[in-house]
Amino acid sequence: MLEVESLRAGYGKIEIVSGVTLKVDNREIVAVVGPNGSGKSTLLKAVFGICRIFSGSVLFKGEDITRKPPHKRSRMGMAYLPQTGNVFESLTVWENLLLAGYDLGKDEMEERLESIASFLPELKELLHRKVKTLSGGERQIVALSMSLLRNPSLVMLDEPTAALAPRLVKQALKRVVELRDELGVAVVLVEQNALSALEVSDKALLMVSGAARFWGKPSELLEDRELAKTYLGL
Amino acid sequence: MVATSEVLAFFISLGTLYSIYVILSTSMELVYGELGLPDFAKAAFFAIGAFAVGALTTRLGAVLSGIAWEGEFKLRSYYYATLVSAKVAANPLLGLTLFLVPLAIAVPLAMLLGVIASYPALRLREDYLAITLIAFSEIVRVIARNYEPLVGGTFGAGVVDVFAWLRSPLRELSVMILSAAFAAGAWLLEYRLSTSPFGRLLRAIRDDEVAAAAYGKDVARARAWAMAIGSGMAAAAGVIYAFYMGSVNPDDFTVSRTFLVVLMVTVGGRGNPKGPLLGAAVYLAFDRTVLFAKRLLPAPFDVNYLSYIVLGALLVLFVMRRPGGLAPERPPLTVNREEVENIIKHSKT
Amino acid sequence: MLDVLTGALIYSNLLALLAVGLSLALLTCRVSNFAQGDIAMVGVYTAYTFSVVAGVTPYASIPVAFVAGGLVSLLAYLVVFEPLRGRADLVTLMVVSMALDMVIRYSLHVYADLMQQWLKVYTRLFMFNDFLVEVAGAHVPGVLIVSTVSTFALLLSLYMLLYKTKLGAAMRAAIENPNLAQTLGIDVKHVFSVSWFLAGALAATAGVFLPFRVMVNPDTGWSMLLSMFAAVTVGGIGSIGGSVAGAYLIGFSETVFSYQLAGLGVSTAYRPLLTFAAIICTLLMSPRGLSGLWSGKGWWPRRRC
Repeated sequence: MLEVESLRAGYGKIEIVSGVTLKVDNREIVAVVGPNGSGKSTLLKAVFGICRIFSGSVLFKGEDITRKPPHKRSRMGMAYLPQTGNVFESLTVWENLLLAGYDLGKDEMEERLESIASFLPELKELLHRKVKTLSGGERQIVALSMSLLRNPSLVMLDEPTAALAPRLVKQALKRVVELRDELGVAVVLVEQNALSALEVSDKALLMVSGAARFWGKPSELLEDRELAKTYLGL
Repeated sequence: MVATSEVLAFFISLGTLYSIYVILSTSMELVYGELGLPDFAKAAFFAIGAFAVGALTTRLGAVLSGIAWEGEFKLRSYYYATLVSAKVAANPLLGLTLFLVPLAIAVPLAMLLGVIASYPALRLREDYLAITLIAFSEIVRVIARNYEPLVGGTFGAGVVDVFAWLRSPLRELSVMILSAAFAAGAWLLEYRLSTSPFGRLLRAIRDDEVAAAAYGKDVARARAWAMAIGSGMAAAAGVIYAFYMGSVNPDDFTVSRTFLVVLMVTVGGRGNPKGPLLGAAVYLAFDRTVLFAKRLLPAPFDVNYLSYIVLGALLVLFVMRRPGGLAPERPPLTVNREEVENIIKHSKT
Repeated sequence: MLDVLTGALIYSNLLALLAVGLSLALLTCRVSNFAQGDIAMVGVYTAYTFSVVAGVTPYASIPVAFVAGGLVSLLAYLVVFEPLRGRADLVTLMVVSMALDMVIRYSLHVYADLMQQWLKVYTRLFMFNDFLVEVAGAHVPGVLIVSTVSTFALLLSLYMLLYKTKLGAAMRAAIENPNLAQTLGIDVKHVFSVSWFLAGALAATAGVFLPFRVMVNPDTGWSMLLSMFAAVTVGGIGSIGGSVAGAYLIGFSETVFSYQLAGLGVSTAYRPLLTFAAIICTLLMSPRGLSGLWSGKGWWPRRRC
């Protein structure tokens, strides 16, 4: 599904991600964990195409997309959910969804909405409210719906639990698992809540100062006392 | 064959104008290049200097030489300017006085107004600060244009020739030397400021005001000082300009004038003391070339228009392709290499 | 007095269309577009040329002016402002727009000279011939009716576009958060192109009405800039609806103020002083402007965005 090879990326002249390699298969949850400032968010941005790639390659569904603009990657089936700025505050929820389904026909749109609404039942009540009146958790639901509307094969989530009240964190992560199981989507999950993320994921990438310090099974990462303690505070 | 006197006149004029533009662009460099404050009222400060000369030289000259003034200012200022100039021809001290008084009034006034103009910068986003300053600049011009007793409104005001006691071409040469002296002084001042801790403070404020404040720097005070110095310089340039032109007209001090100064600084290079020198040179070269072309090429339209079109396009090109200008900003060097080597040598023992 | 109000309404209609364009430029590319007034003049000269060549009244040339203004504005966006978007700071953008103003304005001067020679008409300080309409016994200038109806129609259409269509939602979304819009597959450049075309088209249309009322020059647009900025500022920076409200407020205030000045024997050249005062006061005392009233956020935004 997604193959990232020796990726070096950053902003302007500054390199943040220094040579990261990872692979995401169909129906897989990959957790990206690590200390603050280790380049996790930048990695996602680079994969999606909104920051500068210095060298390395990104392959999506077998195609080299390293130079493709973001809206084309989006149309190929890649969804990216940033931590903030993931919804349009001055618009209503319905308008947000309308935009998310910008190139969908009317029938397709209704169909997708139905299936998303069954996955996220809270959505129905929020439809005509202006987004700026919603709480953090509600916005999360809207943002997620917007990504799912485009029927992605890969969803990249940047710290989805960051703005959530603690009791909603478990719920959010449960949803991530449902994404994989019910909707058949592959997920790349960047998380500060390392333990929770590692508990639900199939593979784990530990990033420290821009480089990959561990790539493999989450259980192995948790068992490695050194790494777990030093970098994840576990 | 062009007469030597014509060639000499051309160069003297070139030298004088270049000096005036250097003062203006240097003052803009200090405030816009180093501090990052878009001083779009520059034409107004320039005007203050010129208006002081226009309003005062004839009146003061008449009073000092015992000439009684009759009639409206706007209609008679040129006449009295000629009369007073004749007096100056016999009395250089009168000329000196008539030069120093407007200068002594205009520069402090401009400095004060500059300080006042620096305060909106605390509250306004940069582009709206610029619009406010433009508005202020236009207010000054509109008032001067309509309040006739000031500089004769649209008629303009005559200026006394303070070098009347010299013969041509020594007269024009003196104006040039005077303006060159001011230009050198202004530039040196800016250069010293730029390489001093004050300069670093200005650049720090430009690059990140919040950080500068967090380090305990008095941002408002630094801004006020920079604006005071910059505006004072512009006023001095205005004084010289008025004497060079021999008359003052409010419509000479429009926003276009400010734009030209911004052009000079942008093309020359912001944040680099050489910038204003280069920028003024580029503009002047261009301006004089157009003046020549006007005589040589008969066009179905006014060639002056072309110069503005080209200048506008030039600025856009520079911003898009070479935003650093001809002389981009260099990282600050506080200690020179030998001293650094000495320090390293001595610390090893 | 009726004449004063007529003048005020016509002037305000103009300002409204111009201010909307200014707002769009500000919202999409964060640029205070000093060339906006000149685009109005592009409309004037296009309409003038077309009406002379085709032998029709300038009112019939409005569609041509609409397209011409739109294209010039679009060109400015594609060549200058889009490449600089996100790369240049606010003041630099403003300086660039001033440079653009120079280019457009003086090109118009050149064109005016050429047009005068080729078409043998006066191209400076000219006016269009208007028709009179009888309304309730009074004779009303045609431009009052046409400009008011057009302005209303255009603003309504813009509103419908922005709030009732998908493209409009995309425009508002791209304005709020261009990165997110891109993420969702919206071609931001395409959407902004439409905004800039409209901004120019509206300005050019507004321009066509001007010579029916006053004598115009290539510089007339530039001289209206302060009023346009006042309208946007007083109305609330970042609010299109605010700009419209601000335009009518400034338009009427300026005209009435001018009338009072004349009554007091003071030169009407001091009229800009009111406009300057309005801008300075709003910015220093209640920066959110009128839109602060209805958005409920109050007068004071944070200074650093």
